[in-house]
Amino acid sequence: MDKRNKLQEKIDDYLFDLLSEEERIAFEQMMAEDENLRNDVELTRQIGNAFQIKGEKEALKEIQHISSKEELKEIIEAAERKHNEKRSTTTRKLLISISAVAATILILVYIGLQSQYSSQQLFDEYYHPEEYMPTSMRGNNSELSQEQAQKLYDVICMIEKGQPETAIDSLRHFYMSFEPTFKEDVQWNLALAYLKVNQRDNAEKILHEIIKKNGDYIQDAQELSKKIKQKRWF
Amino acid sequence: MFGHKNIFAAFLSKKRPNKEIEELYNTYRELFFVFAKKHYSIDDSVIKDIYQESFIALCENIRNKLLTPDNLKVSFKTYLFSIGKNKLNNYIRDNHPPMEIPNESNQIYDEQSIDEKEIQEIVRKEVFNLGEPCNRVLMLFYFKRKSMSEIALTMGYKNEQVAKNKRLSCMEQLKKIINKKYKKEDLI
Repeated sequence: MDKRNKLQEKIDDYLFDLLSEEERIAFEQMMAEDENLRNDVELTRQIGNAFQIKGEKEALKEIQHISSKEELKEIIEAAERKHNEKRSTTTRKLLISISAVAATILILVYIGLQSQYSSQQLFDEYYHPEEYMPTSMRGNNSELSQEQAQKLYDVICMIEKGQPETAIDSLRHFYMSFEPTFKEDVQWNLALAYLKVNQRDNAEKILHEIIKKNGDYIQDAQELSKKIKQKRWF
Repeated sequence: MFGHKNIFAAFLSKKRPNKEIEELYNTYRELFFVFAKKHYSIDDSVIKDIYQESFIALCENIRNKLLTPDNLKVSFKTYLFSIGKNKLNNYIRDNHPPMEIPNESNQIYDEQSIDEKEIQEIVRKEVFNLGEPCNRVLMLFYFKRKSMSEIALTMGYKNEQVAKNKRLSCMEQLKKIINKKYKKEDLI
């Protein structure tokens, strides 16, 4: 039945002038070689015409009863008005549909472009003051080092106590004044402090500097930096 | 729907005057635009004007009894498109001299030569006597030019494929009757 359906569709498309130029030429070639097909096309044409005449009959009776040319024009104008209304309704529906699709896409893109991890989530994951021991303290027991390590620990605790801005100021000051061996510890904690106040760009800049130095924090810095940049879907 | 007795009754009761004319105008308007846009490079507003002029001219001939539903040799559509094509060609000649005028042999669904008039009458008789639901399905397709999905919806069929199959079986049945009835006369 499928094959017969396709042939009938082809015949109708040919008669309704719906085939492309190439298709029409190919179909006419087939007709030239196949008498049965030619007859089938001709019979379909006759049937189609007969249905047209049958369908037109009532309208023709109505036309006979039209009293004047003006009345006929009024009918046509009414038909045109309805056509325009239908077209503008269709256009309006189309615009609404397009707008709805565009809005949905924008919302999805917006959601997709949101960061996968919030600053607070990242801070909570990486902030562990109880485990903290500055890397420079490992095997270094000088008085100055111990003093600076204590200062650093106190400042780190300030972040948790709800004074991250003060901690940031202190850490930036420490970075300038502390021994070079402490600088990476200061930077790591400064990055975390920036995350606490949701300054992701600043946190990322500091992490980038840590990565460039290729020191003890490089692995954590790379991981954290990646997570800061990671988007929800894209 | 066309071909349904209730429609004729509604027409007689004058509930909605000139509904059939309006439907006829709309049905052929769409087809005329498809035809004109395919074969001519003319603005929509010009096509609309030409279609309206052609429709009015033909209706005037019928109204003035120059043509009657009974003495129409071909369908209203054939007359309408013939007038429309002439007007389109005249417009092209007057406004776009270098443009090629479509060959008349590239007809849309059109009538045949005088030799085939006899076959036409035979086919018409069978089509006019066709019962339901084939009459309605084929009328929707060949006269109203509805898509298969629209036909499925109108007829309450499950889906487009059911409508396609029904259309095919109706056509095959109709062709079989015509062939069987008239094959001996060697008309087809």
